Amino acid sequence: MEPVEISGLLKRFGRTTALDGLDLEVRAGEVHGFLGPNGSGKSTAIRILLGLIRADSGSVKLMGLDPWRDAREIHSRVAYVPGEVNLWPNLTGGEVLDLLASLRGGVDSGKQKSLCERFELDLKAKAGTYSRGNRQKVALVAALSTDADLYLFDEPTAGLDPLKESVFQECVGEIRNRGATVLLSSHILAQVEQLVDTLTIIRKGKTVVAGSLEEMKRLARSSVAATLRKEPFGLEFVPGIHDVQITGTRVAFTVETGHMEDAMKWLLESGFEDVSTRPPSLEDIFLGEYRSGGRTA
Amino acid sequence: MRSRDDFCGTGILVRAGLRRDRLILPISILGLLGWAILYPIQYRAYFPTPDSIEAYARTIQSNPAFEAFFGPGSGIGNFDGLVSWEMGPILAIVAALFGMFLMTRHTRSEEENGYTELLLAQPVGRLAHLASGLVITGGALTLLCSIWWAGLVAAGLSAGGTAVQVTAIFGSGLVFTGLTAVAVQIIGHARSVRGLVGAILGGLYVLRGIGDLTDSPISWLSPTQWVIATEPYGEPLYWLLALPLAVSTLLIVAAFAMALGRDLGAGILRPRPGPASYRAWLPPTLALAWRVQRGTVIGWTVGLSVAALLYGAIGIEISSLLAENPQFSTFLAPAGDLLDGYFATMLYFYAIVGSGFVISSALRPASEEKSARAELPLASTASRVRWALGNGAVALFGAVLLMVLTGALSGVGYGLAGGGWGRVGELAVAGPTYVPAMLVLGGLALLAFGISARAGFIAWAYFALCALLLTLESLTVVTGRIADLSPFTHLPLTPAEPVEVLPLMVLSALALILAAIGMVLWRRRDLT
Repeated sequence: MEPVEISGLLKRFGRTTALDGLDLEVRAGEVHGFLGPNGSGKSTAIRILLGLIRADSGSVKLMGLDPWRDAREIHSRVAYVPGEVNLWPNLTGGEVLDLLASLRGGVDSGKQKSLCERFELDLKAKAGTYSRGNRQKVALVAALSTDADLYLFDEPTAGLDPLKESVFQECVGEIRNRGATVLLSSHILAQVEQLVDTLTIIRKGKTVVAGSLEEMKRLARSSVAATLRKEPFGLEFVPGIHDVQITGTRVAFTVETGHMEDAMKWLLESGFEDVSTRPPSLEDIFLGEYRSGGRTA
Repeated sequence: MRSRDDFCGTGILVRAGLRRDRLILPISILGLLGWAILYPIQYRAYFPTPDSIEAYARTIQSNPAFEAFFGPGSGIGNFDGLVSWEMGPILAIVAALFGMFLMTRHTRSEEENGYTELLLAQPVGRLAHLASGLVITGGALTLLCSIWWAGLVAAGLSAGGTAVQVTAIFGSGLVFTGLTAVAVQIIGHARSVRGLVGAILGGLYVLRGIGDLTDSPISWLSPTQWVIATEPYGEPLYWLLALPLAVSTLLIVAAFAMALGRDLGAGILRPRPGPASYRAWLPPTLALAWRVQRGTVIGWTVGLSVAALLYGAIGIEISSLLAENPQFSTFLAPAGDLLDGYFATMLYFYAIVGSGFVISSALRPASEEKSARAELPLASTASRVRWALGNGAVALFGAVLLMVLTGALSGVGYGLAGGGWGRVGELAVAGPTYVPAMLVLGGLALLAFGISARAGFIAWAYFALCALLLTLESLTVVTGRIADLSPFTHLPLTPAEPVEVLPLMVLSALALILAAIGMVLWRRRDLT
């Protein structure tokens, strides 16, 4: 029984299909990245996981429970930060935190206090005067001060300054050390790359690729750039080479996993002044999946 | 050419605003037209002869409660005058509310939602947004009043008198448009703006009633009085039509001056810092609903309490009227004490007005949902139904509080005016007997919320029907089946009539059933 098990999830809003057979599995104790272009259905999936909206068909299980039917029990073990936080303009940040905490039956007030300090949240200001980042901080403190088993973050750091973003990354580390599970939807790829163990990329409501980040990086193409001693010759006959760009004696290309040796042999035979290789980044993986229109996982 | 620059882009904003309202504006104007022409059509059927009008005029002129509500009946000399007496002040208030809602919608609401931020980053003048709101609201008011004129004339009222009437009503709408234009500069939240302007409207209406009863000039503070005093179907006072124009011009100029000096997104009054924590003394879902609605409950309670005190004090006038003319008591109120009848009518009135609070309070979950503030509480361990019913409980508590207080304070006002303190307890008990009917409206609001976050208008439409039936039914214009559509007509008119338990139980049960259906639907639907 894993924290999140979704398969073949379908959700329509009128004529638009938001989720079109989504699969998503998050295993206990892992930090799972949830990526996809705008409008690909990430927030819809998270809202279904919270039982805020109902799946049309497919199977959705959260810690073995049905999120629609068992919403209350699930909520007592799940913490959530929405991507767009709206608060009551005439309540102060402190009042909002206390009311949200009392709805969960109370939280560790010491932990909440230290989080407020770390995020530098002004509790006495009315929420109506908060900037977007400050509203986000209220939702973050409310979620992080709970002792949940599963954290659902839907672009949680939108509007945060880099310092607060790094505080958030520390907090995710602490959650991981505690053995709790995180589902993190974010567009900040550098942040995701640093935090996640596994990830799922979706597009148009369908899962495009899922697996561990290490594995994906291993499967993705590395980039090579080199300056040769003479005009390049015969690169097209080297197996596993793509995206070739030639400018005079400068060449740049990408190499499929398992063909780096072939590429290096060719470089040695051609003779070069200088060469650099770069392992695939999450950005390469994401953009590759996004541009290719998705291959089946 | 600084002043010219400040208005640059107004035309574009007007077009954008009208496009946004392209459905709601025509629909509401047509709805208000249909409602207004009901008056002459209905009255034609009930007052076919001059004799019947004259007899009716005598009844009205001898009942101070009617004078307090609708103004002095001195203009009721003919059929048009009769319709105008009843309809004029109400249309004036509707025009004022129309101006207030439209003006807030196109200025402060847009600013609060952040639409304006995008617009004003374009080459658009600093005053263009306010100006476009005024153009849209002024234009819509002009259209509404023109259509009212055409409809009322088609329904048989004289063209000349009606032209004066709707012009005076237009003036009332314009004054409140100007007042709202000032309020949106001062206050940063649309909800608070509507609360303030609504309170001023209600306060001036109460002042007018009191001024009329006590023959004091304070009634002239109220734009409604200007509409009444024009006497459109008697000898019209044309110069009075200029008064609202002058007042609204002053207000609008003041609003522009304030708009030049203030920051975008903020009001002139800045929100102050508040407490850093909230110690909940209620169960969690209730605590949240209470904290969020606290200001609204206090505002309504203070407003209606003041009205009850003042109208309670007026009760003494009725006592003295009775002392002078003992025959009135047998003529007017054969079934009971005239004073009891007066207080019963007032309680009925507070119950209808207070239903406005009950509906908006019960619909609070819908507005929370629409503004995406529902997600955080609903993602906590509070169940959906508990969360919605927390707001329902505030509505229920508010309804009881309002009716106990208005009842008791009517008695206190009467006592302060020298009528003795004997009625305080009796009225404090009589007030809450109106609560079940208010709860039916609250139950309907929860049902509407269960259907969709955007279905609240169902409850408001029914509220408008009940308010309309209050006026028609209190004048015995409408009886029987149609009047029965309002839950209020099934209530005993305490304290004039003895308390009957059965209708109270039936209405309470109906309210419960409506709310229960609403909650079942709410549990089954998606969050928007």
